[in-house]
Amino acid sequence: MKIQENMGVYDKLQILSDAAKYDVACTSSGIDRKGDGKGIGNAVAGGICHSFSADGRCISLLKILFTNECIFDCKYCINRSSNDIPRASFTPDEVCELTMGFYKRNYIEGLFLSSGILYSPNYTMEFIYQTIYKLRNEHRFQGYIHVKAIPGADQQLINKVGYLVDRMSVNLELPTAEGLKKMAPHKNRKNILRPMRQIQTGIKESKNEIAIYRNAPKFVPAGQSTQMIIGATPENDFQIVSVAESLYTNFSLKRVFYSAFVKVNEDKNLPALPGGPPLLREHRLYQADWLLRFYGFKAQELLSEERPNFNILLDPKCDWALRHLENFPIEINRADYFTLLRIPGIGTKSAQRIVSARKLGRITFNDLKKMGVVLKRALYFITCNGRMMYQTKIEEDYITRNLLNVKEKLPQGIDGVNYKQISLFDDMKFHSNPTSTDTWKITTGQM
Amino acid sequence: MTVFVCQDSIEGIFTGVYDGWDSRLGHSKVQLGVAGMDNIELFMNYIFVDSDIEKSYKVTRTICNRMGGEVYGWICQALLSNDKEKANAVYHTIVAGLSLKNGKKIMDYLTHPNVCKVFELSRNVENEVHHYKGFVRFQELCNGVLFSAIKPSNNVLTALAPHFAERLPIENWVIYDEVRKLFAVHEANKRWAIVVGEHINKEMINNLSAHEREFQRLWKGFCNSISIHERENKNLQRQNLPIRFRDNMVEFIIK
Repeated sequence: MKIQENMGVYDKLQILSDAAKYDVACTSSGIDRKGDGKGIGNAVAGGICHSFSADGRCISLLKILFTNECIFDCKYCINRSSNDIPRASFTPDEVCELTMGFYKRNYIEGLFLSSGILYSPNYTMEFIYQTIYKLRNEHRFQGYIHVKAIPGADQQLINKVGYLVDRMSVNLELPTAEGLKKMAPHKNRKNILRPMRQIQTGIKESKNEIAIYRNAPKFVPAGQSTQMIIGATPENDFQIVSVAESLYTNFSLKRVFYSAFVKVNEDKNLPALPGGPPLLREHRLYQADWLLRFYGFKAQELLSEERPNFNILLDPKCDWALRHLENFPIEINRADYFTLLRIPGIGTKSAQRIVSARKLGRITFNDLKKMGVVLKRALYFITCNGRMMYQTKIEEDYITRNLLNVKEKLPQGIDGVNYKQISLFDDMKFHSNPTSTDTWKITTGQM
Repeated sequence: MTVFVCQDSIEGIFTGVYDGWDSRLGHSKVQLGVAGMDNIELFMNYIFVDSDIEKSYKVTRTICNRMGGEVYGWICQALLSNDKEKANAVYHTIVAGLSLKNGKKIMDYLTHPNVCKVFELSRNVENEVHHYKGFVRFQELCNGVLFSAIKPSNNVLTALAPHFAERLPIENWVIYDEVRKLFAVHEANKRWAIVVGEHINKEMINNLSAHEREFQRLWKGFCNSISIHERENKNLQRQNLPIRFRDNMVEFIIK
């Protein structure tokens, strides 16, 4: 383990942002806050994306670890204690300077501070508290701060930090307790769920106090989130979605993040993943997550013991619709909001617009297109004033084939088909120059 | 068909709305155009309208009273856009709104073609403003001023300045619109303002402060190291961050 003395800020930033990149929580959303005129910064509820990295993800916060030294040896983590990588730590002053300098130039929306565990969870959490305290009180920073609670840290420390930050989260890491025990033997489920429960209670109590006394201090106002690694352990999609659903109902989380497993360590317990990180699976899980939160679906409706994994070719909502064709076709001018949401091609905004515009007149297919409904998908499932757009059979195979023609771009070969039917009319560019006899025949009119 | 040609500003177009209504020609026979944006057509009667503050105040008051502040916000945003149909769409939307019993609901009436157009224009402008809130990059100059340049398709400075005025109240900052040659200026602890007619002083712009280069280097390094190689997807990056924004963004400028 190399410990470099007197490392410059640039090198520290390189190491500690590289170490933090697998924590995919990236949003700066959840709270509206005005600046007080004497400090610097405000917060916007929808979040603002300041840039996008080469892997397409949004950069909106200064995402760093306070230190990448760690006493734990979790198998999936690049910072595990048995890895021989350069280790570095920031000082609280350096973090504050970086945050203020970047924020002033509008590079970031705020700070995301996580950490490896130096000596003990309490020791590390104390450092994090000092940094955030300086940032809020000495530098008068009023932008967005997201902090990771260290599992195993003292309740009082978590409490103190909670009054200074906007969002606090604890990583669940693996969906099940067995998975966690296999991959991260130093962590246990209790140490992770206890701070989550504490933060949840703190948020609720704080909201009650604010209802009574408006200027009461706010505890973690932007809510809580967590993260799970997908693909490192053999849980199926149904188990993962069920865990997410129970987190939303029992812990009142704002978001659950899914991180496709990237193989950074060689270890006999880690899967080989020849196809690279499971990006399509992660994408389907995010689609299902949205369905749970905004579309009124339950985990049981999307998947079950008999069908534990998502359809590769179709998104979960289309898949549900095709399995439940008895609900369709739905009349646009009459159905209520939640029924409209179940139609493939109609999202929350389109459904709201339809419900508002209905009050002022009948809606036709042309109007639907202007309101943002994806008619190419929806036309198989809706009627407008009693008529469908084209005569279609409400039958599973027929609609599936047509939907797949409109499809999203899937990686080639993923549906098992590695060949392609060619026809005479494909432009294969079989070029060869005409022979002299052919040229002569053309000029004399014989061809 | 009479076309009232207005100047390209909120006062100008509202004056056109006032004149169009006042002319009593019948709403189906009136169209509004913006000076410099339209082709001249045959069989149209062109009337050129001078901006009049009084008339535009009257129209503003009518809209706010009969249709509410939210609709007024939508209309003003639509007027910031770069589309030549904007004046006509706004005129007919106002006409439709004043004919409803509850004017506040006019923007729900998306089956009306002109209301739909105003809705689209407004959304277009709003999206661009939201993009710029993230993509504006300030550079600290030697005299302590934070300077930034942008190249927007729509006239977004008016919508962008209040956000930064609240975020950086104790700083001096300037945002320069390269396309329209406008400046949004904010002095520390004072209100922001739009400045027209000034020219940019190129030497002052390139006179960066001592720490500025170091912070730019740190930021470029950060953007590189935060990306996961195994998930590299330039197409997705380009879809989220179109190339037209990148000229003024530090991390994409290769020196």
